[in-house]
Amino acid sequence: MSELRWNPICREWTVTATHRMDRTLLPPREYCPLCPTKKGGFTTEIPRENFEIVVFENRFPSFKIPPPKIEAESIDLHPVKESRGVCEVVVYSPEHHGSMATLSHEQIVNLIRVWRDRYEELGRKKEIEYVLIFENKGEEVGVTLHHPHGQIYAFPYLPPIPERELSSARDYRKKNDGKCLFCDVLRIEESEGSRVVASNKDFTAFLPFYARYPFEVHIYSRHHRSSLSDLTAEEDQNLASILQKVVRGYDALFETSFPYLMILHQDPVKGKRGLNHLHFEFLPPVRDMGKLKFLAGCEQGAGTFINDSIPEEKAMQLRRKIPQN
Amino acid sequence: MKVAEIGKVKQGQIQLEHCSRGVRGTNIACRSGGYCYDIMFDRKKQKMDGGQSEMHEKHRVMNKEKIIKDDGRYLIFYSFTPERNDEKNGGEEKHRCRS
Repeated sequence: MSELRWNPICREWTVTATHRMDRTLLPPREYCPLCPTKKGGFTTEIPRENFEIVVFENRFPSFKIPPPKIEAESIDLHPVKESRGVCEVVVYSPEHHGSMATLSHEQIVNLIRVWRDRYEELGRKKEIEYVLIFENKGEEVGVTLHHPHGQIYAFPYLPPIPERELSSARDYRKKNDGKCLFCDVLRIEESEGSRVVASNKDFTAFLPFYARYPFEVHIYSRHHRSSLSDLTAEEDQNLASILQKVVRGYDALFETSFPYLMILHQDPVKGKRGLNHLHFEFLPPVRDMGKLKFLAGCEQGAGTFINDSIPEEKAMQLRRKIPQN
Repeated sequence: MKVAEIGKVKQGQIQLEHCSRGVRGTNIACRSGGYCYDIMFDRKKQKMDGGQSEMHEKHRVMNKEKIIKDDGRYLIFYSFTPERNDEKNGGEEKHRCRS
């Protein structure tokens, strides 16, 4: 069963996807469904002995085209809608072990090109309003498969976080002669400098002034780009470089393959373009060595984050582990 | 940077090696949306605009091969080759060259 149920209190959709309860959970390496299928071996999701990057429809999707039939009753107070959309898995590499930190620079450039292709192809579907590209990494954030991979959710509506971002950007433009809110946030971060952890010609990585997580890093395009579709080949290269610097910096600081949520923010795929500003957000669930950051009462109950650190200090720690060239 | 339509390219411009839509033998470098960039090429420095000549030489064409699995789900193999592989990608690849 899968459907959208409207929450009139919070004014947001909840997706029910009961089949996901049975999804594959941390299988042993020889039964990894994201590895290539070897001759005489376990048949994985990928029916080839080798590949570079693979994208496939999630076996346990939250959205689907055509969607399953609605089972709950829809009433005025809480309407129910079909969970129409697409959920994809992006397998970064045929190698079972590793992460973005261990991929080659060229593999990350290729991954960026695949993300862009999916953003554009899914965006052309009439049912789709927003394409969310993300990676959940590490058991600490609930991954069920260790093989390096990310996911893409193509939503039939604009989800609340991008909607809020766009609303802020729209208001800011109105009040500031058409200026981009994100460009101005970046300008302040770059001029202040104490929270910047890495930078190149086209991208800057920093812990925002208002970081919610101790090691929350945002990577902003230094030119106003609204989506991956706006990037040049040179920007692809520089984006790959800075993404890798950040994840390697995390690994070096914590001396482990560091867990995180990585979320790509860009324009919705329908309507007027250019309002959003391409950026990545890394939201690691770690607050210090061996200590996790949980979203507890205040975060969940009030929507207010308590950050147990100040971003200037954490930026300094991380910056020391990132080559500054 | 100037933008010119495909086929309307002046002398002194250069076609990027990775560019699959550019007309070979001419000096076109193209971009998505059916437009071409004028690439300013400084032959003395042997660098394209932005100094990324080496980068472009390494840039490969993205091929897509889509298959449908037994359970009806699609799966796409992405591969990156020096040349466009039209047979493999089944004509689905959308042109995507950037300069």
